[in-house]
Amino acid sequence: MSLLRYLKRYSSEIILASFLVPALVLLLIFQLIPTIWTIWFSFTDMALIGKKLIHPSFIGLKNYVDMLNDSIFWQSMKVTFEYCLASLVLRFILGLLAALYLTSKMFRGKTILAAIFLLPYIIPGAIHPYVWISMLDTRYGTLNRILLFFGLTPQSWVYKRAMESVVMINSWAGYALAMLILSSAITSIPKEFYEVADIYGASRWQKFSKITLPLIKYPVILSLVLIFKEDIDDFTYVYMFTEGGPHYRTELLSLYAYHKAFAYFELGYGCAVGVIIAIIVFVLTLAQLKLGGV
Amino acid sequence: MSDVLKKISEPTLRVVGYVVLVVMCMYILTPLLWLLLTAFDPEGGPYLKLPKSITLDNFVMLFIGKPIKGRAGAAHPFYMNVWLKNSFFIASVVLVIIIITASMAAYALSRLDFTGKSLLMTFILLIGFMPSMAKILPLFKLCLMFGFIDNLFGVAVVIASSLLPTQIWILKGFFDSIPRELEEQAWVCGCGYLSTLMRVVLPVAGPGIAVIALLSFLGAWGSFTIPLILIRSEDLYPVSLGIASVFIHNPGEIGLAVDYGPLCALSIVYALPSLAIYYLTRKYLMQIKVGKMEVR
Amino acid sequence: MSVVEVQLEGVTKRFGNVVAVNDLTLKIKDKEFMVLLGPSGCGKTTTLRLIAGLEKVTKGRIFFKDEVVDDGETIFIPPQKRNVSMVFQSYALFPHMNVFENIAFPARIKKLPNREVKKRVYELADLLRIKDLLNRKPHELSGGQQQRVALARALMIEPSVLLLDEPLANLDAKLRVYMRAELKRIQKEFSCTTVYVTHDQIEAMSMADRITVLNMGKLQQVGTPDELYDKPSNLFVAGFIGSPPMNIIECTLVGTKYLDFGSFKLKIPEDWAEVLYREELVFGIRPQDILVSKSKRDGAVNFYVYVSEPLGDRIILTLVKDDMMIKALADKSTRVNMREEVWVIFNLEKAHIFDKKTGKLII
Repeated sequence: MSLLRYLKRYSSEIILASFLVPALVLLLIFQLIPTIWTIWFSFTDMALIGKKLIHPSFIGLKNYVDMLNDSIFWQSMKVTFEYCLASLVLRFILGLLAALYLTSKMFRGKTILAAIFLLPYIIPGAIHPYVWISMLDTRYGTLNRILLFFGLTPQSWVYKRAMESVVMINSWAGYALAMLILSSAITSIPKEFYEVADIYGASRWQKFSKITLPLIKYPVILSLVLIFKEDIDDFTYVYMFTEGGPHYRTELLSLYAYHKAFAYFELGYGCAVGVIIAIIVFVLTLAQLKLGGV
Repeated sequence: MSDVLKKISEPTLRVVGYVVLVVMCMYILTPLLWLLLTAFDPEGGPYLKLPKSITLDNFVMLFIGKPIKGRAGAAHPFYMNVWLKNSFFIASVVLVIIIITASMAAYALSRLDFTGKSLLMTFILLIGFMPSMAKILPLFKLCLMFGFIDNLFGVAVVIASSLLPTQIWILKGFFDSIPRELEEQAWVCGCGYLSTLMRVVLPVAGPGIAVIALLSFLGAWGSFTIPLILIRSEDLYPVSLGIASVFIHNPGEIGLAVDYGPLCALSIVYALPSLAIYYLTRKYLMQIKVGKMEVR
Repeated sequence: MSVVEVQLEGVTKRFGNVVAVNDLTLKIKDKEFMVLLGPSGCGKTTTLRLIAGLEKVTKGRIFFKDEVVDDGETIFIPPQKRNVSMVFQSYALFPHMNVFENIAFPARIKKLPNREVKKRVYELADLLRIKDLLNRKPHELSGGQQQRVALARALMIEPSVLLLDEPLANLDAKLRVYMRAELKRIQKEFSCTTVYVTHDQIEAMSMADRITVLNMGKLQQVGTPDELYDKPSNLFVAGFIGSPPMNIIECTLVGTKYLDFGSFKLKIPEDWAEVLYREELVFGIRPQDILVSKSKRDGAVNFYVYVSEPLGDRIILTLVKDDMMIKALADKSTRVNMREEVWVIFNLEKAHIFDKKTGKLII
């Protein structure tokens, strides 16, 4: 009886809380359940073919133990680290630079500039690799022609410099995320702060390092988190360009998980690699959020 | 650093700024320039060149479904109108689902105070962080149960669920910046919660809605992985799968034996709706406030 | 008009550990203009929000006429169903609607016929002199105009109670004085029960039928402006009402005839001695009741001028003697210089004596 009374008194809050239900249901069914399922699979010897697909058996931590002795796993760990670090730095710096251009008073034509900066982000991701073919082609590619023009040695981008190429495409396609977040943050800093700084004769660098940067600390951390998450998760470019090669030099962890599961049919093992990626993401995200005092 | 910068005078800084800007714009635009030129070039290839003559054949080819005489064409026929229709269907369903569920959830998160709220927010953010590839098989099994295989609506629901976390965060940021008094005023005037949301909060949060509309449209329109898992029959392909079916023979072999003219034409047609949505919502894009990220 | 009286019965509101309203019992009569007055953080806005139903009481009950709208346990009528109108300090005009739609909003929610809505909006716009603004958006209006639109919206439906939360605080000084009179006139015209929150005692004095003084969530005194001015029930009310504020001086009772102020003594009227039951006292006197003259008089105490602030018609004098400082209102013809010696007579008929320990009024 008292519960009923309680419910009646808080009916408005309950109505409001019920607004959460549709989104949470969607997230639970299509995000949480597959996640938990994946974690379960990672403890089994499930395979994509044969009767192990239907009747996998529980093998405990075997997949994870195997991973420790798997040289390709460690190789792709190293590759992933390089790729993520390079992408993170490039995407963030390009994004910050673009955000500064969009918010600085020194440069004109903001609307056009914003449109140009956003183009790669707006264009559907499935097109990105094709668009870069013309840049990276060894014989006629624009990049090599530019190198030749400056008297430098042309490179075999897609094959020998696969990692650099992929990072280049990824930064091109993805810097706009940081740009959007950072420029939104910078525009919301009250002008008065800079005017006060001007009164005291602060230099451009001082204004940036003493006012802008501390005030956009949280957006900076957030964009780093999001960039990192996207990079470690997404393997479209290596998949289309290099298929992880040559010699696993671009075999990202996510691609390795995919290969293990769908090319070698070791579904359980693939899921285990996926869980490792998820753990890395969780730990680093939480650490970044904590560090930012969020 | 500060000493060095101090010595650089304003005009020099401006020049340096413009040089960097030009380099950046070249980095961004050169690949796209190739796309644009090659789309109108009857004999384009994977290299940047001015077309000798201009043709619309590449675009025509997409829609008539077979190669034009004298042109190599692609290995598979194009079904551009079917793909576009499918992509539009998916994107609009995603848009509707996201706008409804994300705005309701973000509103509740913005206005309710309860213990564990920040925990729930973190949970919502992290739930989307599980690598999508790792989830493929469970997702497939789940969709089999729901009858979402070869079902455009099902694909849209799954895509929406994957885009939802970020959209909720962004929208919550917008809602947080709306003064509570506006809603309280509406309540006092007799508005229920849902009608307050519809009549007052959503119109005032217009920019936020525009931003998540853009972002979720882009996400749905370009999505590749989820349709790849869930769609089997070719007449349900969205554009992203369509491109792959025509131009990718094997993974890692992109760019081999491809007619680049139609590819570029297809890419441009594919990008146009995204550009249109961007054009409509561009005013609001710089106002994103994710969660607590407004300047404190 | 469905006007009602509002009654609060032992209402307490806590936010975590903070007690915003503490055991408040208050009756707001039908058609009354009640002002809740107090410094910021005294709980006056919370009280208003409790009446509106924007907050739930922690303990106690709120009645609208005979109906319980919130009893802190089971019953809670949400704001949507209380039929109140409210004007917020920020006015809370809907930025996406023009003035007309803003005013019409409550009627639209109640689904009144369009013709009636239109008629009513025009009437109100006429009354509040905003007829030319109906097609504008809120951001195109000045503060005063926004305030009147918010008021018009609050009057659009006939509310049981009209709640106003510092509606004049964001206006400039001149407009505030004008709107004060205007608001009072409109309230009388509509004769609706009104609860008005302010921290400005002049606003309260000039508009209210009755004033409720709150401090730290506790009720200090309820009464008409005159009652509060002439008979402040404790030191807080005495110090809060009146401008410049009442002089409050600690003193001790010596025998039955004198009040000892340290540097001087005052002889007290005979009838005072009977009621003064305590030695530790506080003497309160308004600046208006202090007579200042340049020449020495009988029973006068000498002070020195510390600052003189001319107001045009009068002068506020700040006077010192040893470590005592008082304010006095003098005629504008009283020309004094800084540090000049003046003679002061206290009009003891208008003075008050408070108990130092409890702060309660004795005389």
